[in-house]
Amino acid sequence: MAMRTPSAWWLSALFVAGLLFVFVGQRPLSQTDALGPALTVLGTALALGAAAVRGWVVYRAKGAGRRTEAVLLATELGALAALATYALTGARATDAIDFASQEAESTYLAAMRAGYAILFGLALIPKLVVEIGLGVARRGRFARPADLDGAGASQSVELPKVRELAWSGLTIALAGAFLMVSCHVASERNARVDVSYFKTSSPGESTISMAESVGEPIEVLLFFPEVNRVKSEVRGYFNDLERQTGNVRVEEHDRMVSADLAREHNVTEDGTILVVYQGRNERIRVSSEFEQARRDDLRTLDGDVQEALMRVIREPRVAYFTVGHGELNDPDTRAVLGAEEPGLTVELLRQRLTMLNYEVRDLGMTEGLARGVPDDATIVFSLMPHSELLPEAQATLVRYLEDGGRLFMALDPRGEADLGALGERLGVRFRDTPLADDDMFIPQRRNDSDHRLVVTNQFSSHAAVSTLAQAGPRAEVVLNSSGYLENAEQADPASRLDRTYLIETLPSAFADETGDFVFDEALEERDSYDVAVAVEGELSPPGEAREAGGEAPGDGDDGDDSDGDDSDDSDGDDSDDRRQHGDDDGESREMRALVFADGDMVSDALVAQVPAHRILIDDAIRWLGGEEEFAGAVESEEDDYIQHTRSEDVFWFYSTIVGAPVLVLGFGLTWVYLRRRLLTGRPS
Amino acid sequence: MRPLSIIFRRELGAYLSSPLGYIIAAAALLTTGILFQWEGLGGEPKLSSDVLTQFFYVASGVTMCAAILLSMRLVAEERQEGTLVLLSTSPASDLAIVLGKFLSAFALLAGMLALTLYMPLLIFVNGKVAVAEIAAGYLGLFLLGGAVLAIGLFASALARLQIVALLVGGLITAVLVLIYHLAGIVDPPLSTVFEKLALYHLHFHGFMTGLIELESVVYYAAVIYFFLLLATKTLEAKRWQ
Repeated sequence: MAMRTPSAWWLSALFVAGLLFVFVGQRPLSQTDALGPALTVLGTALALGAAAVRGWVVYRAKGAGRRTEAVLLATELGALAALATYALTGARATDAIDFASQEAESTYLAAMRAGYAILFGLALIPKLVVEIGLGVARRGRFARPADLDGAGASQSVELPKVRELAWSGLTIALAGAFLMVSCHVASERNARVDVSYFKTSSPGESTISMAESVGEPIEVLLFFPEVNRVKSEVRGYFNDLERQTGNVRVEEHDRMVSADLAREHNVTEDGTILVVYQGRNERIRVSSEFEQARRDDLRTLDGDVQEALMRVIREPRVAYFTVGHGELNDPDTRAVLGAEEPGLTVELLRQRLTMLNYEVRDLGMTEGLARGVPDDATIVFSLMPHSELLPEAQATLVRYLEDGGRLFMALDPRGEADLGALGERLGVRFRDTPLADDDMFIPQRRNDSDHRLVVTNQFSSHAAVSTLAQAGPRAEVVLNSSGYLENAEQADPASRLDRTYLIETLPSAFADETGDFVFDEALEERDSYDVAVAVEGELSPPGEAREAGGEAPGDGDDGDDSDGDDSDDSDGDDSDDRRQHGDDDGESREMRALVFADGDMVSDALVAQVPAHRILIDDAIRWLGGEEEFAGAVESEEDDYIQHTRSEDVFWFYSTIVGAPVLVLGFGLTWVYLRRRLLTGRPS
Repeated sequence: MRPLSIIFRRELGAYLSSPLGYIIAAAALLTTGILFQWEGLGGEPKLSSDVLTQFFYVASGVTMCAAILLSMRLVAEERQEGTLVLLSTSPASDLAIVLGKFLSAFALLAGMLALTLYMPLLIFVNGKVAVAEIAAGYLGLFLLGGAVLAIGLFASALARLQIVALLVGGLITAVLVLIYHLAGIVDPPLSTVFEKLALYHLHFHGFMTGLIELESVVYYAAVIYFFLLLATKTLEAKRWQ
């Protein structure tokens, strides 16, 4: 298909090689002292020389050959113009020009760079297209004078084809240039729309209960600019709260207009929310920029409001964490005892306590754990002690409970700790055989050891887990190598205690006696194992127990319903009876204790990833603090971790991998088959 | 418009009446499912937004491969079977031929992508994602798929054999994807040009996370337009042979 032209094909190759030399000299070798400049000069000379030869050929040629050479010469002149434009962006050229400002220089450079890039495209793309169209065969040498006769030249070159190709190349180059400029403009004037998940949290059940519980209305002052999208979102939240409680008064202020009020409350920024109650005020800061607020503040607004409410409606409280036995909150001792494990920390529990207006302090032997729990303690936490609590510490905790204290105790089979004297007094025994479940578990390592990550959604309706119980079967907690709890004979029969087992495993769980993670029918038994218990009532000191004499635990109406069925009698008449019993002595000594058989339930690893664990610790703290009327989940629109049990995994696996492709293929092949049968049956 | 419509229906009918279209769709679904299980649903618990991002990451790779496979036959098959001459001499312009073929392949690709919709919708069961976020991801997939289809169509217009079209289309796509990594090792302004030119990293990531950017939409539209223009011009040039 190649045509005979007045010039050889390699003239164009020489021209392009010259441009390549310039590029190499100016880019990859620009830092060299001699080679880079030498290549630039050589390349420029080559390109100029090739263009000059082309000009000479145009001058000599005739007819169609001449016009073809003229097209090629035009492309080469365009490329040389691009080269000249490029030279004008160099340091010498810019130094020679007296720019009014730095900005003017930048504008000049941007324009020139775009200019030479476009010129190169406009020159070289048509050249490439025309050269491809002309081919290389029969074009190895320059035409002799005899070849340059008008008739001969016209026969050898298909001028319309060359013109068509040149126009095609030019069209492509122009389109490329236009698109380059369009993309650049779009990039400079970029508009963004963020449609990722966003919803301002609504007032949660717990927040509503808090707002309803106070005697006087709570004032909420919103300091936002007059027209502001974040204000509308925040206003919507408080309107809901106002409507549902009737105990909230909301005012909007522009801090510039209400300058005195802003000064009085020391408000210096837009996006400040003040929650005011009986002279106490708490501030919540949200960004007044919508994009930032939707990302950082509005999804968790309910949690922030709840934290502020807790600070204004009651005095701060103190929670003590025992230390010195390798507890989760005591990493130093755990390290000494060799019990360190990644993720076994309780920072999130501390955060929750702080949000609920508790101050967290350590309680070790030096802080008086052997002598007595400080008077300001509202709750004492003993979180997965690795070693047995010292007898003095156990005695202190027992005395604390006898005086109506509140205790949160989490044990774990991985430690050596037991309930000891506390268990005898509470009538609860901790079994350190780890539980496993080969049906409902979280697949993590994809081997049998995953059976220890047991999932359960079995909760009693006790106030300490009421939110989870109300949430239905989708609220699931995860146990990690959990032990289990059983009834034990109560050491002091005079104590009137209610024991309510709060959480039990599904019936497919088993105590892994053999430690091999798999169920052994001969040695192990599947059952619903209890993993958490709430004990409440009056714990009589041993002296009183002796005086009280013979009433045995479980006799009469002592509320012991720990027969595995789980009770839900934590409220109602029994508790009224107990309070009356306390009042007879002149002071209420009703103790409350929560015992968990798995320390991981409050660890950061699970609290961060499983929403039900956050609800569990919130409700536990509220119940122990006597604030169970505030129970309920904090409404949050923050993203959740997605965790599947093994059986859910199997469902997703088959539906995504097998189901859909088989359906498509089955439908398609059937349709093709039926269609072909229909067509073959039809007369032609 | 009529020649374009005829070519569109003819091409789409060819896909739907042969097992090839269904086999490619099933294979794409199977691959997306396996990769989504592996990257998105398996292993450690993930935030729902991360699972969605992983889905679009997986689906984008499958979409690019499916687009190359679907486009390889568009013109090369006509040339292989000798029917291109009939098409070229028909009243249909080269632009109508290119557009008709592109739109038919795009319709099939869009249908295939629509079949994967149930996967991100599964995230609604346990997680928090927005419908608009999913829609943004699919917009990105349609644009990316359209761009790769246009590249594949250009390659198909260039090549005599389908396999060559597949290789050329794959190579151009790979270069346009990998050019982003070159941006890290060359100096400005070339690095900026490479970065902006890259088919995937800079332009698709926003869609995966629910961020629609004008810059990326214009870029993909430009790539589609440019390669369709190249395919048209290639067909025009081939008339001279």
